[in-house]
Amino acid sequence: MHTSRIFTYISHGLLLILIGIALFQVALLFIMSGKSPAEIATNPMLPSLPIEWENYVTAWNMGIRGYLTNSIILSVSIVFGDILLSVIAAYVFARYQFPGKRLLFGLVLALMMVPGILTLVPRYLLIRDLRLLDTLWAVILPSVLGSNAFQIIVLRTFFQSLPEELFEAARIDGAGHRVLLFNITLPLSTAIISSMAILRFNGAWNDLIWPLLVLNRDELRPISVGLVMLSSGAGAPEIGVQMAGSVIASIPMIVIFIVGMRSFIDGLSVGAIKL
Amino acid sequence: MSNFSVAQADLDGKDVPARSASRSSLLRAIWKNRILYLLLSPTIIGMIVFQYYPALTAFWGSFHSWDGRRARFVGLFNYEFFLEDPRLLQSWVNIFLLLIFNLASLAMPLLIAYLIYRLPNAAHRYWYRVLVVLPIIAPGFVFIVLWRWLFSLDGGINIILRALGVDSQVVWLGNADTALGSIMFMGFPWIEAFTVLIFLAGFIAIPSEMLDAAAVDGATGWQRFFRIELPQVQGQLKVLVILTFIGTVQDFGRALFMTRGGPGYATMVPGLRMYNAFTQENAYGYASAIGVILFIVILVLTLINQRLIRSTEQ
Repeated sequence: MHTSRIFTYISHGLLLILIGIALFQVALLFIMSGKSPAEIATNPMLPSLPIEWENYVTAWNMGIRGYLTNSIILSVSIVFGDILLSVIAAYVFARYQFPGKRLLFGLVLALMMVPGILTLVPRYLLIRDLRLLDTLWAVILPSVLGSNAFQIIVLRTFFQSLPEELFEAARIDGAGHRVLLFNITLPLSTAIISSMAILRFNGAWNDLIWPLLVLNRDELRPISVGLVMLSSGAGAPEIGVQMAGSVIASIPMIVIFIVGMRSFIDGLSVGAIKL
Repeated sequence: MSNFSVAQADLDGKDVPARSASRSSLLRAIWKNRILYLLLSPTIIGMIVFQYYPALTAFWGSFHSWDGRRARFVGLFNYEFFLEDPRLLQSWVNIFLLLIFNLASLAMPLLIAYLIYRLPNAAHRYWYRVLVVLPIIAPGFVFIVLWRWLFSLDGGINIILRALGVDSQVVWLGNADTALGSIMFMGFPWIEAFTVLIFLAGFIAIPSEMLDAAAVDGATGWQRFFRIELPQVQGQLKVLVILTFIGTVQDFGRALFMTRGGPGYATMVPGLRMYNAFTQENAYGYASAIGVILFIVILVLTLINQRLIRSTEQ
Protein backbone atom coordinates (compact mmCIF):
# COMPACT_ATOMS: atom_id res chain seq x y z
CA MET A 1 0.00 0.00 0.00
CA HIS A 2 1.36 3.39 -0.98
CA THR A 3 2.38 5.72 1.82
CA SER A 4 1.75 9.35 0.94
CA ARG A 5 4.72 11.67 0.76
CA ILE A 6 3.28 14.16 3.26
CA PHE A 7 2.73 11.38 5.79
CA THR A 8 6.35 10.33 5.34
CA TYR A 9 7.64 13.87 5.93
CA ILE A 10 5.54 14.24 9.06
CA SER A 11 6.80 10.84 10.26
CA HIS A 12 10.42 11.90 9.81
CA GLY A 13 9.73 15.13 11.69
CA LEU A 14 8.03 13.43 14.65
CA LEU A 15 10.63 10.66 14.83
CA LEU A 16 13.54 13.09 14.75
CA ILE A 17 12.03 15.34 17.44
CA LEU A 18 10.98 12.56 19.83
CA ILE A 19 14.04 10.35 19.42
CA GLY A 20 16.14 13.53 19.47
CA ILE A 21 14.81 14.44 22.93
CA ALA A 22 15.72 10.97 24.18
CA LEU A 23 19.18 11.13 22.64
CA PHE A 24 19.76 14.64 23.99
CA GLN A 25 19.54 13.20 27.52
CA VAL A 26 22.35 10.79 26.69
CA ALA A 27 24.31 13.60 25.05
CA LEU A 28 23.86 15.71 28.20
CA LEU A 29 25.89 13.17 30.18
CA PHE A 30 28.82 13.67 27.83
CA ILE A 31 28.39 17.44 27.51
CA MET A 32 28.15 18.08 31.25
CA SER A 33 30.97 15.66 32.09
CA GLY A 34 33.39 18.07 30.42
CA LYS A 35 32.33 21.25 32.21
CA SER A 36 33.96 23.10 35.09
CA PRO A 37 31.72 24.39 37.94
CA ALA A 38 31.97 27.90 36.45
CA GLU A 39 30.87 26.67 33.04
CA ILE A 40 27.99 24.66 34.63
CA ALA A 41 26.75 27.84 36.30
CA THR A 42 26.61 29.83 33.06
CA ASN A 43 26.03 27.33 30.26
CA PRO A 44 25.29 23.83 31.60
CA MET A 45 23.51 22.14 28.71
CA LEU A 46 25.28 23.15 25.50
CA PRO A 47 28.70 21.92 24.38
CA SER A 48 31.61 24.16 25.23
CA LEU A 49 35.40 24.28 25.21
CA PRO A 50 37.80 23.72 26.84
CA ILE A 51 36.86 20.24 28.05
CA GLU A 52 37.46 19.80 31.77
CA TRP A 53 39.18 16.38 31.74
CA GLU A 54 39.93 16.88 35.41
CA ASN A 55 36.32 15.75 36.14
CA TYR A 56 37.18 12.25 34.93
CA VAL A 57 40.32 12.07 37.06
CA THR A 58 38.39 13.25 40.12
CA ALA A 59 35.56 10.76 39.56
CA TRP A 60 38.00 7.92 38.94
CA ASN A 61 39.81 8.64 42.21
CA MET A 62 36.60 9.14 44.21
CA GLY A 63 35.92 5.42 44.12
CA ILE A 64 34.62 4.90 40.58
CA ARG A 65 37.67 2.76 39.79
CA GLY A 66 36.79 0.26 42.52
CA TYR A 67 33.07 0.35 41.74
CA LEU A 68 33.77 -0.33 38.08
CA THR A 69 35.95 -3.34 38.94
CA ASN A 70 33.23 -4.75 41.21
CA SER A 71 30.56 -4.24 38.56
CA ILE A 72 32.66 -6.04 35.95
CA ILE A 73 33.34 -8.99 38.29
CA LEU A 74 29.65 -9.23 39.25
CA SER A 75 28.19 -8.81 35.78
CA VAL A 76 30.57 -11.20 34.03
CA SER A 77 30.04 -13.90 36.70
CA ILE A 78 26.27 -13.46 36.56
CA VAL A 79 26.10 -13.59 32.75
CA PHE A 80 28.35 -16.64 32.59
CA GLY A 81 26.59 -18.57 35.36
CA ASP A 82 23.08 -17.62 34.32
CA ILE A 83 23.53 -18.41 30.62
CA LEU A 84 25.34 -21.70 31.33
CA LEU A 85 22.61 -22.99 33.67
CA SER A 86 19.83 -21.70 31.41
CA VAL A 87 21.28 -23.38 28.34
CA ILE A 88 21.69 -26.70 30.15
CA ALA A 89 18.16 -26.63 31.60
CA ALA A 90 16.59 -25.51 28.32
CA TYR A 91 18.46 -28.29 26.45
CA VAL A 92 17.16 -30.95 28.82
CA PHE A 93 13.59 -29.63 28.73
CA ALA A 94 13.63 -29.20 24.94
CA ARG A 95 15.11 -32.50 23.80
CA TYR A 96 14.21 -35.20 26.35
CA GLN A 97 11.26 -36.99 27.88
CA PHE A 98 11.61 -38.18 31.47
CA PRO A 99 9.33 -38.82 34.46
CA GLY A 100 8.35 -35.63 36.26
CA LYS A 101 9.28 -33.37 33.33
CA ARG A 102 5.91 -31.65 33.34
CA LEU A 103 6.15 -30.95 37.08
CA LEU A 104 9.70 -29.62 36.88
CA PHE A 105 8.97 -27.39 33.90
CA GLY A 106 5.82 -26.26 35.70
CA LEU A 107 8.09 -25.09 38.54
CA VAL A 108 10.00 -22.98 36.02
CA LEU A 109 6.86 -21.55 34.40
CA ALA A 110 5.19 -20.75 37.73
CA LEU A 111 8.17 -18.60 38.68
CA MET A 112 6.96 -16.03 36.17
CA MET A 113 4.13 -15.38 38.65
CA VAL A 114 6.41 -14.92 41.68
CA PRO A 115 7.24 -11.20 41.81
CA GLY A 116 10.54 -10.02 43.24
CA ILE A 117 8.80 -7.82 45.78
CA LEU A 118 7.25 -10.87 47.48
CA THR A 119 10.58 -12.63 47.96
CA LEU A 120 12.79 -9.60 48.70
CA VAL A 121 12.61 -9.62 52.50
CA PRO A 122 13.00 -13.38 53.11
CA ARG A 123 15.74 -13.58 50.46
CA TYR A 124 17.66 -10.91 52.34
CA LEU A 125 17.29 -12.90 55.58
CA LEU A 126 18.35 -16.08 53.78
CA ILE A 127 21.53 -14.40 52.55
CA ARG A 128 22.12 -13.09 56.07
CA ASP A 129 21.66 -16.57 57.58
CA LEU A 130 24.03 -18.05 54.98
CA ARG A 131 26.54 -15.47 56.26
CA LEU A 132 26.96 -14.03 52.78
CA LEU A 133 26.12 -10.39 53.57
CA ASP A 134 28.94 -8.10 52.47
CA THR A 135 30.38 -10.62 50.04
CA LEU A 136 30.02 -10.51 46.26
CA TRP A 137 28.33 -13.94 46.51
CA ALA A 138 25.31 -12.18 48.04
CA VAL A 139 24.70 -10.64 44.62
CA ILE A 140 25.97 -13.43 42.38
CA LEU A 141 24.19 -16.45 43.90
CA PRO A 142 20.58 -15.19 43.82
CA SER A 143 21.16 -13.66 40.38
CA VAL A 144 22.41 -16.93 38.91
CA LEU A 145 20.31 -19.46 40.82
CA GLY A 146 16.56 -19.38 40.41
CA SER A 147 16.19 -16.12 38.51
CA ASN A 148 16.46 -17.51 34.97
CA ALA A 149 12.92 -18.73 34.27
CA PHE A 150 12.49 -16.33 31.35
CA GLN A 151 15.80 -17.35 29.77
CA ILE A 152 14.98 -21.06 30.11
CA ILE A 153 11.55 -20.62 28.54
CA VAL A 154 12.83 -18.63 25.54
CA LEU A 155 15.84 -20.92 24.94
CA ARG A 156 13.71 -24.06 25.28
CA THR A 157 11.38 -22.81 22.55
CA PHE A 158 14.38 -22.16 20.33
CA PHE A 159 16.09 -25.50 21.05
CA GLN A 160 12.87 -27.35 20.27
CA SER A 161 12.97 -25.90 16.76
CA LEU A 162 16.35 -27.52 16.00
CA PRO A 163 16.03 -30.64 13.76
CA GLU A 164 16.07 -33.93 15.69
CA GLU A 165 18.06 -35.65 12.90
CA LEU A 166 21.22 -33.77 13.92
CA PHE A 167 20.96 -35.07 17.46
CA GLU A 168 20.03 -38.57 16.31
CA ALA A 169 23.06 -38.76 14.01
CA ALA A 170 25.41 -37.57 16.74
CA ARG A 171 23.97 -40.08 19.21
CA ILE A 172 24.57 -42.91 16.75
CA ASP A 173 28.20 -41.75 16.63
CA GLY A 174 28.26 -42.16 20.41
CA ALA A 175 28.07 -38.49 21.37
CA GLY A 176 27.25 -37.70 24.99
CA HIS A 177 25.42 -34.72 26.48
CA ARG A 178 28.57 -32.61 26.46
CA VAL A 179 29.03 -33.00 22.71
CA LEU A 180 25.32 -32.65 21.97
CA LEU A 181 25.16 -29.46 23.99
CA PHE A 182 28.45 -27.73 23.19
CA ASN A 183 29.16 -28.99 19.66
CA ILE A 184 25.66 -29.14 18.22
CA THR A 185 23.18 -27.02 20.17
CA LEU A 186 25.39 -24.03 20.99
CA PRO A 187 26.86 -23.38 17.52
CA LEU A 188 23.31 -23.26 16.12
CA SER A 189 22.13 -20.84 18.80
CA THR A 190 24.87 -18.21 18.98
CA ALA A 191 22.58 -15.36 17.85
CA ILE A 192 19.87 -15.90 20.45
CA ILE A 193 22.36 -16.74 23.21
CA SER A 194 24.50 -13.66 22.59
CA SER A 195 21.50 -11.31 22.54
CA MET A 196 20.30 -12.95 25.75
CA ALA A 197 23.76 -12.54 27.27
CA ILE A 198 23.75 -8.84 26.36
CA LEU A 199 20.32 -8.36 27.94
CA ARG A 200 21.44 -10.22 31.07
CA PHE A 201 24.63 -8.17 31.23
CA ASN A 202 22.58 -4.99 30.94
CA GLY A 203 20.26 -6.18 33.71
CA ALA A 204 23.13 -7.13 36.04
CA TRP A 205 24.96 -3.85 35.33
CA ASN A 206 21.78 -1.88 36.12
CA ASP A 207 20.88 -3.78 39.28
CA LEU A 208 20.65 -1.24 42.07
CA ILE A 209 18.37 -2.10 44.99
CA TRP A 210 19.56 -5.64 45.75
CA PRO A 211 23.31 -4.80 45.87
CA LEU A 212 22.44 -1.73 47.94
CA LEU A 213 20.71 -4.02 50.46
CA VAL A 214 23.34 -6.73 50.78
CA LEU A 215 26.60 -4.80 50.30
CA ASN A 216 27.29 -2.30 53.05
CA ARG A 217 31.04 -2.03 52.64
CA ASP A 218 31.90 0.70 50.17
CA GLU A 219 34.80 -1.24 48.63
CA LEU A 220 32.41 -4.02 47.50
CA ARG A 221 29.82 -1.82 45.86
CA PRO A 222 29.07 -1.98 42.14
CA ILE A 223 29.01 1.21 40.11
CA SER A 224 25.20 1.49 40.19
CA VAL A 225 25.15 1.78 43.98
CA GLY A 226 28.43 3.67 44.14
CA LEU A 227 27.41 6.36 41.69
CA VAL A 228 23.93 6.93 43.10
CA MET A 229 25.30 7.09 46.65
CA LEU A 230 28.12 9.37 45.54
CA SER A 231 25.65 11.81 43.98
CA SER A 232 23.36 11.82 47.05
CA GLY A 233 23.72 13.81 50.22
CA ALA A 234 25.81 16.72 51.34
CA GLY A 235 29.24 15.48 50.31
CA ALA A 236 28.26 15.02 46.67
CA PRO A 237 30.89 16.17 44.15
CA GLU A 238 30.26 18.75 41.40
CA ILE A 239 27.64 17.77 38.83
CA GLY A 240 30.38 17.66 36.19
CA VAL A 241 32.20 14.99 38.21
CA GLN A 242 28.95 13.03 38.69
CA MET A 243 28.40 13.10 34.94
CA ALA A 244 31.99 11.98 34.29
CA GLY A 245 31.25 9.02 36.58
CA SER A 246 28.05 8.38 34.61
CA VAL A 247 29.95 8.33 31.32
CA ILE A 248 32.49 5.89 32.80
CA ALA A 249 29.56 3.71 33.94
CA SER A 250 28.32 3.62 30.35
CA ILE A 251 31.58 2.38 28.82
CA PRO A 252 30.79 -1.38 28.79
CA MET A 253 27.50 -0.92 26.96
CA ILE A 254 29.15 1.56 24.57
CA VAL A 255 31.78 -1.08 23.75
CA ILE A 256 29.10 -3.74 23.22
CA PHE A 257 27.14 -1.34 21.04
CA ILE A 258 30.12 -0.48 18.83
CA VAL A 259 31.34 -4.07 18.52
CA GLY A 260 28.00 -5.63 17.77
CA MET A 261 25.52 -2.90 16.85
CA ARG A 262 23.89 -4.85 14.07
CA SER A 263 23.67 -8.22 15.82
CA PHE A 264 22.71 -6.43 19.04
CA ILE A 265 19.65 -4.82 17.46
CA ASP A 266 18.77 -7.87 15.39
CA GLY A 267 19.15 -10.00 18.52
CA LEU A 268 16.88 -7.70 20.50
CA SER A 269 14.34 -7.93 17.70
CA VAL A 270 14.55 -11.73 17.73
CA GLY A 271 14.03 -11.67 21.48
CA ALA A 272 11.07 -9.38 20.94
CA ILE A 273 9.48 -11.79 18.48
CA LYS A 274 10.05 -14.73 20.78
CA LEU A 275 8.19 -12.89 23.50
CA MET B 1 15.40 -41.98 21.53
CA SER B 2 14.33 -45.56 22.18
CA ASN B 3 15.80 -45.70 25.68
CA PHE B 4 13.41 -42.93 26.74
CA SER B 5 10.29 -44.65 25.46
CA VAL B 6 9.53 -46.12 28.88
CA ALA B 7 9.40 -42.69 30.41
CA GLN B 8 7.23 -41.47 27.57
CA ALA B 9 4.78 -44.32 28.10
CA ASP B 10 4.50 -43.50 31.79
CA LEU B 11 3.95 -39.82 31.14
CA ASP B 12 1.13 -40.60 28.75
CA GLY B 13 -0.36 -43.17 31.10
CA LYS B 14 -0.60 -45.71 28.28
CA ASP B 15 0.77 -49.24 27.98
CA VAL B 16 0.90 -49.72 31.74
CA PRO B 17 -0.42 -53.21 32.49
CA ALA B 18 -0.30 -53.32 36.28
CA ARG B 19 0.42 -50.92 39.12
CA SER B 20 3.48 -52.77 40.51
CA ALA B 21 4.98 -53.17 37.08
CA SER B 22 4.35 -49.49 36.49
CA ARG B 23 6.14 -48.51 39.69
CA SER B 24 9.24 -50.56 38.96
CA SER B 25 9.37 -49.34 35.38
CA LEU B 26 8.96 -45.78 36.62
CA LEU B 27 11.90 -46.21 38.97
CA ARG B 28 13.87 -47.78 36.15
CA ALA B 29 13.03 -44.83 33.89
CA ILE B 30 14.12 -42.36 36.57
CA TRP B 31 17.38 -44.24 37.08
CA LYS B 32 17.99 -44.41 33.35
CA ASN B 33 17.57 -40.64 33.09
CA ARG B 34 19.58 -39.81 36.22
CA ILE B 35 22.02 -37.66 34.24
CA LEU B 36 19.14 -35.42 33.11
CA TYR B 37 18.04 -34.81 36.71
CA LEU B 38 21.64 -34.08 37.60
CA LEU B 39 21.84 -31.49 34.81
CA LEU B 40 18.62 -29.85 35.99
CA SER B 41 19.48 -29.97 39.68
CA PRO B 42 21.33 -26.60 40.01
CA THR B 43 18.43 -24.80 38.31
CA ILE B 44 15.65 -26.54 40.24
CA ILE B 45 17.44 -26.40 43.60
CA GLY B 46 18.28 -22.74 42.98
CA MET B 47 14.66 -21.94 42.26
CA ILE B 48 13.47 -23.72 45.37
CA VAL B 49 16.12 -22.12 47.61
CA PHE B 50 16.09 -18.56 46.25
CA GLN B 51 12.49 -18.23 45.02
CA TYR B 52 9.96 -20.73 46.36
CA TYR B 53 11.33 -20.95 49.88
CA PRO B 54 11.49 -17.14 50.28
CA ALA B 55 7.98 -16.82 48.79
CA LEU B 56 6.56 -19.28 51.32
CA THR B 57 8.53 -17.61 54.09
CA ALA B 58 6.95 -14.28 53.12
CA PHE B 59 3.45 -15.74 53.59
CA TRP B 60 4.46 -17.28 56.91
CA GLY B 61 6.15 -14.08 58.10
CA SER B 62 3.18 -11.92 57.19
CA PHE B 63 1.20 -13.55 60.02
CA HIS B 64 3.91 -12.94 62.60
CA SER B 65 5.48 -10.14 64.50
CA TRP B 66 9.00 -10.83 63.32
CA ASP B 67 12.27 -9.00 63.94
CA GLY B 68 14.24 -11.31 61.66
CA ARG B 69 15.19 -13.68 64.48
CA ARG B 70 12.20 -14.32 66.73
CA ALA B 71 8.62 -14.46 65.53
CA ARG B 72 5.30 -14.34 67.37
CA PHE B 73 2.00 -15.25 65.70
CA VAL B 74 -0.24 -12.19 65.38
CA GLY B 75 -2.85 -13.36 62.88
CA LEU B 76 -3.92 -10.69 60.44
CA PHE B 77 -2.55 -7.81 62.49
CA ASN B 78 0.14 -6.84 59.94
CA TYR B 79 -2.42 -6.71 57.14
CA GLU B 80 -4.86 -4.63 59.18
CA PHE B 81 -2.09 -2.32 60.33
CA PHE B 82 -1.04 -1.66 56.74
CA LEU B 83 -4.46 -1.42 55.14
CA GLU B 84 -5.92 0.77 57.89
CA ASP B 85 -3.01 3.23 58.10
CA PRO B 86 -4.61 6.50 56.92
CA ARG B 87 -1.26 7.97 55.83
CA LEU B 88 -0.77 5.08 53.42
CA LEU B 89 -3.98 5.79 51.55
CA GLN B 90 -1.83 8.24 49.58
CA SER B 91 0.49 5.40 48.55
CA TRP B 92 -2.44 3.55 46.95
CA VAL B 93 -3.58 6.70 45.16
CA ASN B 94 -0.01 7.19 43.91
CA ILE B 95 0.42 3.65 42.65
CA PHE B 96 -2.95 3.90 40.90
CA LEU B 97 -1.97 7.16 39.18
CA LEU B 98 1.43 5.72 38.22
CA LEU B 99 -0.28 2.65 36.79
CA ILE B 100 -2.66 4.72 34.65
CA PHE B 101 0.19 6.92 33.53
CA ASN B 102 2.55 4.06 32.66
CA LEU B 103 -0.17 2.27 30.69
CA ALA B 104 -1.02 5.46 28.79
CA SER B 105 2.64 6.13 28.04
CA LEU B 106 2.81 2.82 26.14
CA ALA B 107 1.33 4.98 23.37
CA MET B 108 4.74 6.58 22.79
CA PRO B 109 6.67 3.42 21.85
CA LEU B 110 3.59 2.32 19.88
CA LEU B 111 3.64 5.59 17.93
CA ILE B 112 7.39 5.42 17.31
CA ALA B 113 7.17 1.80 16.16
CA TYR B 114 4.26 2.59 13.84
CA LEU B 115 5.96 5.61 12.26
CA ILE B 116 9.13 3.60 11.65
CA TYR B 117 7.14 0.68 10.22
CA ARG B 118 5.33 2.97 7.74
CA LEU B 119 8.52 4.55 6.35
CA PRO B 120 8.93 3.49 2.71
CA ASN B 121 12.75 3.38 2.78
CA ALA B 122 14.33 0.28 4.38
CA ALA B 123 17.59 2.08 5.21
CA HIS B 124 15.67 4.80 7.04
CA ARG B 125 13.77 2.17 9.02
CA TYR B 126 17.05 0.53 9.99
CA TRP B 127 18.73 3.74 11.14
CA TYR B 128 15.77 4.88 13.21
CA ARG B 129 15.86 1.49 14.89
CA VAL B 130 19.52 2.06 15.73
CA LEU B 131 18.75 5.53 17.13
CA VAL B 132 15.89 4.18 19.26
CA VAL B 133 18.15 1.53 20.79
CA LEU B 134 21.16 3.85 21.20
CA PRO B 135 20.18 5.29 24.66
CA ILE B 136 20.63 1.76 26.08
CA ILE B 137 24.36 2.57 26.29
CA ALA B 138 23.65 4.67 29.38
CA PRO B 139 22.55 2.49 32.32
CA GLY B 140 19.25 3.31 34.05
CA PHE B 141 20.82 4.49 37.32
CA VAL B 142 22.71 7.18 35.41
CA PHE B 143 19.37 8.80 34.57
CA ILE B 144 18.57 9.00 38.29
CA VAL B 145 21.67 11.18 38.66
CA LEU B 146 20.84 13.21 35.55
CA TRP B 147 17.16 13.81 36.36
CA ARG B 148 17.87 14.76 39.97
CA TRP B 149 19.91 17.59 38.49
CA LEU B 150 17.34 18.42 35.80
CA PHE B 151 14.63 18.81 38.48
CA SER B 152 16.76 20.89 40.88
CA LEU B 153 16.28 24.65 41.50
CA ASP B 154 18.97 25.73 39.02
CA GLY B 155 18.69 22.52 37.00
CA GLY B 156 17.87 21.83 33.38
CA ILE B 157 14.06 22.05 33.51
CA ASN B 158 14.07 25.48 35.15
CA ILE B 159 16.86 26.67 32.84
CA ILE B 160 14.78 25.70 29.80
CA LEU B 161 11.65 27.32 31.28
CA ARG B 162 13.55 30.53 32.06
CA ALA B 163 14.94 30.58 28.52
CA LEU B 164 11.34 30.37 27.33
CA GLY B 165 10.44 33.38 29.47
CA VAL B 166 8.86 31.60 32.47
CA ASP B 167 10.54 32.68 35.71
CA SER B 168 10.41 29.21 37.28
CA GLN B 169 11.75 28.85 40.82
CA VAL B 170 10.13 25.44 41.42
CA VAL B 171 12.11 22.73 43.21
CA TRP B 172 10.28 20.05 41.28
CA LEU B 173 11.00 17.06 43.54
CA GLY B 174 10.78 19.05 46.77
CA ASN B 175 7.27 20.35 46.26
CA ALA B 176 4.32 18.14 47.23
CA ASP B 177 2.29 19.47 44.29
CA THR B 178 4.87 18.67 41.62
CA ALA B 179 6.85 15.70 43.02
CA LEU B 180 4.67 12.86 41.70
CA GLY B 181 4.16 14.51 38.32
CA SER B 182 7.91 15.03 38.07
CA ILE B 183 8.58 11.36 38.75
CA MET B 184 6.15 10.51 35.95
CA PHE B 185 7.72 13.05 33.60
CA MET B 186 11.17 11.53 34.20
CA GLY B 187 12.37 9.77 31.09
CA PHE B 188 10.23 11.86 28.72
CA PRO B 189 9.40 10.99 25.92
CA TRP B 190 9.26 7.48 27.40
CA ILE B 191 10.54 5.66 24.31
CA GLU B 192 11.58 2.34 25.83
CA ALA B 193 13.74 0.60 23.21
CA PHE B 194 12.65 -2.94 23.95
CA THR B 195 8.96 -1.95 23.83
CA VAL B 196 9.44 -0.23 20.46
CA LEU B 197 11.13 -3.35 19.07
CA ILE B 198 8.30 -5.58 20.31
CA PHE B 199 5.66 -3.41 18.61
CA LEU B 200 7.79 -3.11 15.49
CA ALA B 201 8.15 -6.88 15.24
CA GLY B 202 4.36 -7.13 15.50
CA PHE B 203 3.72 -4.59 12.73
CA ILE B 204 6.29 -6.17 10.41
CA ALA B 205 4.58 -9.55 10.80
CA ILE B 206 1.27 -8.25 9.37
CA PRO B 207 0.65 -10.06 6.08
CA SER B 208 0.76 -7.68 3.12
CA GLU B 209 -2.33 -9.32 1.50
CA MET B 210 -4.36 -8.00 4.41
CA LEU B 211 -3.21 -4.45 3.71
CA ASP B 212 -3.68 -4.83 -0.05
CA ALA B 213 -7.25 -6.00 0.50
CA ALA B 214 -7.89 -2.96 2.69
CA ALA B 215 -6.44 -0.69 -0.01
CA VAL B 216 -8.71 -2.25 -2.63
CA ASP B 217 -11.68 -1.63 -0.33
CA GLY B 218 -10.61 2.03 -0.15
CA ALA B 219 -9.76 2.13 3.57
CA THR B 220 -8.50 5.47 4.87
CA GLY B 221 -5.30 5.72 6.90
CA TRP B 222 -7.20 5.83 10.19
CA GLN B 223 -9.37 2.84 9.26
CA ARG B 224 -6.29 0.95 8.21
CA PHE B 225 -4.63 1.65 11.57
CA PHE B 226 -7.56 0.99 13.90
CA ARG B 227 -9.26 -1.85 12.01
CA ILE B 228 -6.24 -3.80 10.76
CA GLU B 229 -2.86 -2.84 12.14
CA LEU B 230 -3.71 -2.17 15.79
CA PRO B 231 -5.69 -5.43 16.21
CA GLN B 232 -2.72 -7.28 14.69
CA VAL B 233 -0.41 -6.14 17.51
CA GLN B 234 -2.98 -6.95 20.20
CA GLY B 235 -0.89 -9.92 21.36
CA GLN B 236 2.17 -7.71 21.89
CA LEU B 237 0.01 -5.08 23.58
CA LYS B 238 -1.38 -7.66 25.98
CA VAL B 239 2.09 -8.85 27.02
CA LEU B 240 3.29 -5.27 27.49
CA VAL B 241 0.21 -4.30 29.53
CA ILE B 242 0.83 -7.25 31.86
CA LEU B 243 4.54 -6.42 32.13
CA THR B 244 3.64 -2.79 32.89
CA PHE B 245 1.21 -3.91 35.61
CA ILE B 246 3.80 -6.18 37.19
CA GLY B 247 6.59 -3.62 36.88
CA THR B 248 4.66 -0.62 38.17
CA VAL B 249 3.09 -2.26 41.22
CA GLN B 250 6.49 -3.53 42.38
CA ASP B 251 8.60 -0.53 41.49
CA PHE B 252 9.84 1.74 44.23
CA GLY B 253 13.26 2.60 42.81
CA ARG B 254 12.29 6.04 41.54
CA ALA B 255 10.44 6.92 44.74
CA LEU B 256 13.40 5.74 46.82
CA PHE B 257 16.17 7.47 44.91
CA MET B 258 14.40 10.59 43.66
CA THR B 259 12.30 11.66 46.67
CA ARG B 260 12.46 9.04 49.47
CA GLY B 261 8.67 9.00 49.11
CA GLY B 262 8.35 12.65 50.04
CA PRO B 263 7.76 15.41 50.56
CA GLY B 264 5.58 13.97 53.29
CA TYR B 265 3.81 11.04 51.61
CA ALA B 266 3.46 12.80 48.24
CA THR B 267 5.38 10.14 46.29
CA MET B 268 5.08 7.22 48.74
CA VAL B 269 4.27 3.85 47.17
CA PRO B 270 3.53 0.55 48.97
CA GLY B 271 6.83 -1.00 47.83
CA LEU B 272 8.82 1.83 49.42
CA ARG B 273 6.86 1.48 52.66
CA MET B 274 7.88 -2.18 52.64
CA TYR B 275 11.52 -1.29 51.99
CA ASN B 276 11.54 1.23 54.84
CA ALA B 277 9.79 -1.18 57.22
CA PHE B 278 12.49 -3.77 56.88
CA THR B 279 15.60 -1.64 56.35
CA GLN B 280 14.86 0.94 59.04
CA GLU B 281 12.43 -0.66 61.49
CA ASN B 282 13.35 -4.38 61.40
CA ALA B 283 9.60 -4.99 60.93
CA TYR B 284 10.01 -8.13 58.83
CA GLY B 285 6.50 -9.45 59.41
CA TYR B 286 4.92 -6.16 58.46
CA ALA B 287 7.17 -5.88 55.38
CA SER B 288 6.26 -9.45 54.39
CA ALA B 289 2.55 -8.60 54.63
CA ILE B 290 3.01 -5.67 52.24
CA GLY B 291 4.88 -7.99 49.86
CA VAL B 292 2.02 -10.51 49.97
CA ILE B 293 -0.58 -7.78 49.36
CA LEU B 294 1.33 -6.51 46.32
CA PHE B 295 1.67 -10.08 45.05
CA ILE B 296 -2.12 -10.50 45.31
CA VAL B 297 -2.68 -7.16 43.54
CA ILE B 298 -0.39 -8.25 40.69
CA LEU B 299 -2.09 -11.64 40.47
CA VAL B 300 -5.60 -10.15 40.37
CA LEU B 301 -4.68 -7.45 37.83
CA THR B 302 -3.04 -10.04 35.58
CA LEU B 303 -6.07 -12.33 35.72
CA ILE B 304 -8.51 -9.46 35.07
CA ASN B 305 -6.39 -8.32 32.16
CA GLN B 306 -6.34 -11.79 30.63
CA ARG B 307 -10.11 -12.16 31.12
CA LEU B 308 -10.80 -8.76 29.54
CA ILE B 309 -8.58 -9.44 26.54
CA ARG B 310 -10.16 -12.83 26.01
CA SER B 311 -13.69 -11.42 26.09
CA THR B 312 -12.81 -8.67 23.59
CA GLU B 313 -11.32 -11.27 21.29
CA GLN B 314 -14.58 -13.22 21.20
